[in-house]
Amino acid sequence: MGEQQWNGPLERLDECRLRIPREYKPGMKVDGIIYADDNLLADLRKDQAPEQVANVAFLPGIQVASLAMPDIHWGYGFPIGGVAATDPEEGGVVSPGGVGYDINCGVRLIRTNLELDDVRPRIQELVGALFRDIPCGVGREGSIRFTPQEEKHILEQGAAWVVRRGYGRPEDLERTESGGCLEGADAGAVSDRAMERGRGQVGTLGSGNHFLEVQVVDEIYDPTVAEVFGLHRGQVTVMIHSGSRGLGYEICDNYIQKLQDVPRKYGIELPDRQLVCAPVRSPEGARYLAAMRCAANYAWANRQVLMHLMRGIFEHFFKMSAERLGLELVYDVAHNIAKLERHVVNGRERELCVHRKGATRAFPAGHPEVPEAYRSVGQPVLIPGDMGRYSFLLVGQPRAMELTFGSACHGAGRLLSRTAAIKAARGRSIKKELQSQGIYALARGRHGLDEEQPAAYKDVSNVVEVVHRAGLARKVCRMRPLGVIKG
Amino acid sequence: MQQGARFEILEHTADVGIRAYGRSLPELYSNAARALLDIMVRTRDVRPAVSLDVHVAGRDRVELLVAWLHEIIFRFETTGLVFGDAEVRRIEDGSLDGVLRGEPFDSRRHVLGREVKAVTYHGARVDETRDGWIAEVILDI
Repeated sequence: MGEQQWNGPLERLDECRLRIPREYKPGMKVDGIIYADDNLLADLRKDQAPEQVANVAFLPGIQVASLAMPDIHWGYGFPIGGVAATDPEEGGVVSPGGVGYDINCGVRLIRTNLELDDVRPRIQELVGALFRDIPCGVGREGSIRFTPQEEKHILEQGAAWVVRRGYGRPEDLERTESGGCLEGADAGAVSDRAMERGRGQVGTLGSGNHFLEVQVVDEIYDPTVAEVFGLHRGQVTVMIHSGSRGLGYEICDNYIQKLQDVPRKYGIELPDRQLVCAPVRSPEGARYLAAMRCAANYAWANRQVLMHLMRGIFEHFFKMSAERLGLELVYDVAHNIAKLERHVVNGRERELCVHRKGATRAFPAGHPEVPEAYRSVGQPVLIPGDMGRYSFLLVGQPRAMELTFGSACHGAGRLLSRTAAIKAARGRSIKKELQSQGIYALARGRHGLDEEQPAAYKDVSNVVEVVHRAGLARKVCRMRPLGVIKG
Repeated sequence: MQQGARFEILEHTADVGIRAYGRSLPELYSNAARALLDIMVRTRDVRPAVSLDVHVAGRDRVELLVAWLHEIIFRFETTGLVFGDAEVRRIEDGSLDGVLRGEPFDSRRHVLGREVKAVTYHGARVDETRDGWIAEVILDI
């Protein structure tokens, strides 16, 4: 499982970047570049993730370098934290492994007009209400049923369709990456089985590291930008982390299966079966993209419905309308996705297929895809941490366009295996420990909070520091958890 | 093969894997399925009230194993049933007939484990040993 020590070459380029030269392995078309300072370097060789960075450099049409963000860790084929851009004009490929099973897993942040003191005394009740009414946990079905025809609309129109059906407001879409809908989604490319797996799961949080968190802004690094995002110290926010649920897992699975023979057909040599891919401009590649976009749209609809449920619970709980409570979406970002985007390479602008596998888009000020309200400062970049410490909000910078195809990191990454975490929790109550820090957490499932306890994760601030210093995205503020619900 | 050992759960930092043993291929695939079920639910609470017949195919032994485990995840997510046991009855010419035994999920009696998103091909293997068969597969959790 990639746990052996990695002994390949890592050359330091500067304070924040390491290079795996393309000469390391015959077949690499570009260098590998990993964002890591000396702090993170110690952990980097502990698994085979750097080898995976080198393997991704084999992909046909890959541009500039096979990149990895500072939260890099071992994945299936691609490393988590991987960014790879391919040029379709040069035979560039799309790889389902470069997106992952949870297609458009992502994060959204909602601001409120509530201050810490409005929420702190009632946090247990509030978390209890969220836990009761937001479907979460393994196999939990949603409270909203869609017909097969309606599910097709969701796949092809994403968050826009559910907003039209009353789950939110049009302005939510302006503050969602890509408006919550990728063009070119074709439900005809999605299997009946994937449709079936997805049908009951719109508006469900899921399990594992997915969560809904009530937070308070506890540190402001850039007051000007924070103001543009409508955030100040002491303000209560809500963060939602979820993805495309069973539908996305099934689509990824289907296409990894379907594409097994495709690399041979196009004469593509790959060092790992899990890296299967197809040229963007091939019938197979086009079909995967059409299906992947369906899952991406489903995920945006899912987070939109989750936010709608959350708004309803807050309205009922505080006996005030969502408008008066100021429950506005700050932003929604995807961190597992492949998108066609325009980037400048060697002085020429071209359309590239950018894979972000555990990486967040980080477009700078002035980019047309940044919502108008934020265009003067840049795109919000949401980086969730663990449930005991903090999450960060950053803002995309021009250096990201120059260096990482407009990308930054996505989270903390695990430090302990699930079993090790359960062992470490033996004889303790994680719930009580969190409570003594003023955090009220509820979780379903056999292992409850033990697997997801703060100590099971790396400190996300180390990752964020590198991204900040490398100039990919700048720190704006930090949010501390008050209440958490976990699947 | 250890006396009596049917399967092991392998764990590393962010991943969970299965290692299963069997004296025959059907026993091996049955044990791999039991390992998966053990991750998904506390199996001892599940009564065998319902049986579901399952038929899957694969181009080789690894594909067949992945397809079989994948089918269990799919049935769990789409039927509202939880499964306490699985058994492979026949493996022939790249196809497998098996049965899943369980009952409708009841939150008062059943304790769910982890959400298994998918069965990956990374490092997946089915090999013959001196004592029988061994299989390994990594799950995306």
